[in-house]
Amino acid sequence: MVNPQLSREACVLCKGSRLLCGKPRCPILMKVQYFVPVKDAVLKQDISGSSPPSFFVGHFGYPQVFAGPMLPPVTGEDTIIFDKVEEWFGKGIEEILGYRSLLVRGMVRANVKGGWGRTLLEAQEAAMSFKPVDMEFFLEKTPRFRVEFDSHSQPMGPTAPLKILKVVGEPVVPRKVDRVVGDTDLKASEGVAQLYLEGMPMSYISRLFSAALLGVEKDRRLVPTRWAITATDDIVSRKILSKVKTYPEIDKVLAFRKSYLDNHFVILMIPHAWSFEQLEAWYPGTAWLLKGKRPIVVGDYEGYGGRKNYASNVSGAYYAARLAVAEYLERVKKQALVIVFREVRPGYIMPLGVWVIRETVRSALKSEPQVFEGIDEALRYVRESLKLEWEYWRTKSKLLELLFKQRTIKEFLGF
Amino acid sequence: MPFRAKFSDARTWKRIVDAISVLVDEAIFRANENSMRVRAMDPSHVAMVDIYLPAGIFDEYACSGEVAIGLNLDEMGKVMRRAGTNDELELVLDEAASSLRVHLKGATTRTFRLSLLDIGGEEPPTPSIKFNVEAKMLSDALVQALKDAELFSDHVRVSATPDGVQIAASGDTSGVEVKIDKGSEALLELSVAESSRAIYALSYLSDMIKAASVSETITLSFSTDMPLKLEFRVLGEGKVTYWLAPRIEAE
Repeated sequence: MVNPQLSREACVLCKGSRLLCGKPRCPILMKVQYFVPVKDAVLKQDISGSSPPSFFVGHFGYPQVFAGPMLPPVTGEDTIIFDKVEEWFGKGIEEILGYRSLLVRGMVRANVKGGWGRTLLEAQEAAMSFKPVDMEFFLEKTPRFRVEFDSHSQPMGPTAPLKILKVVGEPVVPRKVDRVVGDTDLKASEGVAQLYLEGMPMSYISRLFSAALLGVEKDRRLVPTRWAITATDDIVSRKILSKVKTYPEIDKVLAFRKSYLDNHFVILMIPHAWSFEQLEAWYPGTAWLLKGKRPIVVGDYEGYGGRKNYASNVSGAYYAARLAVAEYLERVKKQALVIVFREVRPGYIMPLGVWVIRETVRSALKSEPQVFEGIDEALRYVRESLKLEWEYWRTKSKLLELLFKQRTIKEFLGF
Repeated sequence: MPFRAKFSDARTWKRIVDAISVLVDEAIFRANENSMRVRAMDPSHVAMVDIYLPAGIFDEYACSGEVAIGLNLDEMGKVMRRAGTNDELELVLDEAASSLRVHLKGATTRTFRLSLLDIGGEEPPTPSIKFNVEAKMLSDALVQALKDAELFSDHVRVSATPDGVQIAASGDTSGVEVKIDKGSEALLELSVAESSRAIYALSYLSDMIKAASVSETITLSFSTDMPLKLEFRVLGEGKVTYWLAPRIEAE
């Protein structure tokens, strides 16, 4: 059953995750799945190569999920890039899909809590590696010919049930990672934060988290990849923000810009106590709004005290952008009110994962900002940088509304 | 010992700490021989809390000179969550060790040591405003009204006429209005010099009311488009006052 009230905005809000349309699988994701040609090399029952490494946990059927390693029919250290999203920024859609279509996903059915067989335990050990690990797959059948898309995770390659896994190479595990993984009294959130502070990339940390390698022993479980990505973004950004909130406010209004894969970002920072908002405009013809004439704008925000519930309108992209923003503020040792405007134009035809947001905002915040004396001047710049009429954004923004309408106690103290 | 204070019921102190941590993570408790006070503004400058605890409400109280005790409220809150229902609380300032000792006495005696924060800053003044509306009501009536409002919006319109107090919230197409009429058992006293209305952010107001609901009654004062003042009593003479700046619906 389709809820008629939801019909137009439903797909933008849902992004294939909540199945608001009532269908068992997201029809939009099903359609783009067949878009990518899969290379002949992966359509084999026996595959040997170097896993980046990569470890995938699905979310369908939770807590009974499909989990397992991913392996390309390619040997060598270079395969690390197939799963390292930190190095993808700037690359074209074809190149990224090329990496992913070469990664064969060997699946094992498992309960997230444990009772795993040897295959999964070996895959888990390989997932700890910082460098590619040579392995061999013996699949039950030839992989299914497709690449799967998801709003949070990077696209996933062809899939088949895994009969036998042979880990040939030696996992290379940094000593710090070994220590955190070995500490079964350390909470998962602490483990994630420590690994980040040690300089480990987010893709590596979320893989460890997903593969049940972090946390207090009795609480360790497989975490579906898409949830693990957002959980690590959330944990790390909260950690950074608790420090950011003690820093002085920025002095001037700043605006940063960056575009990638027809995702256009403008990041506005205003001198104020920490607050964050992300607004996203989806044009007709983009992944989540295939039909319709008018773009749709969705948003989520938080005040100084942070969020108490999940940012369900913007979802994982909210946490990915918030991480990049927190990193910037920590770098300059300042706090601010930050609004991320994301305009998704029709060139973004398929969802590639929230790394697109994280890495584009990171890149934007490494560029030189435009500096403004006042908010009005800055808002004029934001309007000119975005294609969609300002009215759409203005009416959706809770923080702009607060900024213009909320008075402060100071104004009543007679200073 | 420059400062020492005792509550026979540790929960009293927990409520005071909770009432402050609604707005700030750190606060300075200022004490002299007559009273203990806290005044703090939230980081967005939208709200303020002002607490006055006269020496008489403590079961024992001793303070020599003026002392300023800077505390991390998160840490203090965690300690107070460990207090049992029949625990007695004693606070002792240890200036030499730059810490505050928190003794919880029940079946056992537990001593927590919290390090003092070196936070300075002037004590901000409180707004001086002529209020046109002052209403004393049952705190639960307000708690329930705000829960109704939260279903529809992130802000509420508070209004008052000589007949009563109204609280309303609306979303895009739906909404709610709660009337607390004069003469109803929820409204204990009402004085209206001029009918007034103003809008306040629910994120602040709900947290304040939640903290205030430890007291059975509260006093609400406001005027059109002016800050709201919310006051409740702690053990008779103790007083917690919140100030909340309004939202203005112009444009």
